Amino acid sequence: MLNIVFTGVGGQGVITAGIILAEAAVLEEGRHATQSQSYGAEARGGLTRTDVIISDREVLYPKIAQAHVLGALHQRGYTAHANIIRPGGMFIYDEETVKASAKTDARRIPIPLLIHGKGANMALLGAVCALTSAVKCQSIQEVIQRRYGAESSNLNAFQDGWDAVVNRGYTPHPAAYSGHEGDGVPPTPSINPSISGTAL
Amino acid sequence: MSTVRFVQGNEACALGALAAGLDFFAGYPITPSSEIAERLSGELPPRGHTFIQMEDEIASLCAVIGASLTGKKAMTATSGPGFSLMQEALGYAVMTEIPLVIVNVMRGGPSTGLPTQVSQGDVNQARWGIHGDHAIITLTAGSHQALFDNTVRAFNLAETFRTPVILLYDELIAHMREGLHVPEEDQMDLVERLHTSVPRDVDYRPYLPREDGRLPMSDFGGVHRYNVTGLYHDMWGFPSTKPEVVRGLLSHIVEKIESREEELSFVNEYHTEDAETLLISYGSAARTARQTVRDAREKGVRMGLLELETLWPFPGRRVSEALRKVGEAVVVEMNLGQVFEQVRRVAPKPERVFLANRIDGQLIAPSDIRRVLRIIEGKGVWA
Repeated sequence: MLNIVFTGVGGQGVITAGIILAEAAVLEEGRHATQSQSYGAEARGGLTRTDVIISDREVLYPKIAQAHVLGALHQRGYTAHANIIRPGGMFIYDEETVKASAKTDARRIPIPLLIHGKGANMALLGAVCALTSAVKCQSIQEVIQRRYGAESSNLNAFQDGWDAVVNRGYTPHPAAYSGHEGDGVPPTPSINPSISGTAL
Repeated sequence: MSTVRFVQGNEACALGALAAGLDFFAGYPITPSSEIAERLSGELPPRGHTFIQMEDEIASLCAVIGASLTGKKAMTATSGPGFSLMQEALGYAVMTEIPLVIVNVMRGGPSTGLPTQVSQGDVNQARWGIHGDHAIITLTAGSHQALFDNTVRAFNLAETFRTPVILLYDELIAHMREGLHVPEEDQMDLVERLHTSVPRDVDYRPYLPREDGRLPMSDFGGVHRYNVTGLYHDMWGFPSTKPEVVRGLLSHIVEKIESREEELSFVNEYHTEDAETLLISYGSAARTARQTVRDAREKGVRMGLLELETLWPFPGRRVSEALRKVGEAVVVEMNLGQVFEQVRRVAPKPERVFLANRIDGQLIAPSDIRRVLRIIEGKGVWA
């Protein structure tokens, strides 16, 4: 089982990113996944969070108490949900907007996300895809393309997020978080296996 | 064969309604039900059917009643505040025996409460929101598949029993997304309107039941003229205060549903065969309960779940039977114990029935249930 939480403020598309990820798992790869969310009554600007669980078994309780991956697009989201990262989990963020606390016990993956403007959520997805093997990049690209068309700049933002991770030498998590039962078995990374580097 | 979709619960409901043959939707959007109206506003007109955004919830249900009388499969969707406004028309639909479906996606109440957060506080409102003795069918769902299936079932029961049916689910199911298998059209059993065989110019009695208790209908505005009123009425639909008419109509309205409790008891059992502890739950809380059972079974703990998909008429016999086989039971819900009270009412040992609940707009967690179990076991909880 793989638990992923995205957080930010309304309008940044964190919920959309969660939907795309879970949809790719269910429709493109035939796995079980749920996407749930919490948001305020505001149309934009309120704190938002989406929980995505990908599993080989039917997902029952859809909320995440311990996340393998936390992606934050806004300081408010990080402050509210930093403690949700499972010890040793991964934290993906943009240093321009999020100041990570020393207390967060997680592998930090600071990469440029907000530079993509409205595509920040797609860059985040690209980064998740490079760091886990829960869902194949191709599956996510498929869903983005279906939603926004083959020419969409969202595909570029997704690719940039992926590149940002790989070019900075961040490696997939040791277990690569495939979300398959009996994890701990050597993973099949979804990215170029020759890439290595030092993780922070 | 079926098609896999990845949808919100509200979309699963809309797709279920379309599969059931929905002809007419009238509603007033309200969080957390708005996606039903949104989806149907796009789907109904191209199929030649009707979508109307009304001025308010009372008008919405009144429009649905009118549409149904003309032979259409009709529904509306709302949330607690809107459902409160609909009660007057709901009572009218119960009294005049109009087949229709009302979706109430529960959010935190009372009043405008918590628009975007989860609650299961409208269970008793579904049963007793309207005045006067009556019976009502209320279904719920804890997954998108069950929601799709029970939406179809709600339309079928509405037609079969000539009654409004309430589909009551919560914000979590409404807004969550998961996979849904949409069956092919020919794989579904649909109940269509039972039309009268009485020809034009022959005395049609709209409230004269057949031998099996069903009331054949004649499309209003069609070949028969007849009266429809919320007053107690005779078999022609005209007002009456005769004691035997009043007694007969009320007992008919109640008995057509209450006497079929077993037929209407839709429940799912998980690991109940050898369970020592039984969880009883419904809606999104049942997902948490099932997760708790799954976790417990992996540790060899004999725990089971009875998931209710019928809330009203309360499936008392099924609950009572299940309780006879276990040591204790915990009702898991997100209100102050509305189903818990019903379970205690039918329990052989009410003192062995406990409540695990949450009322703070958050989905109840497995840890909440485990804390209650520890207290029952006399282990206490760490503060």
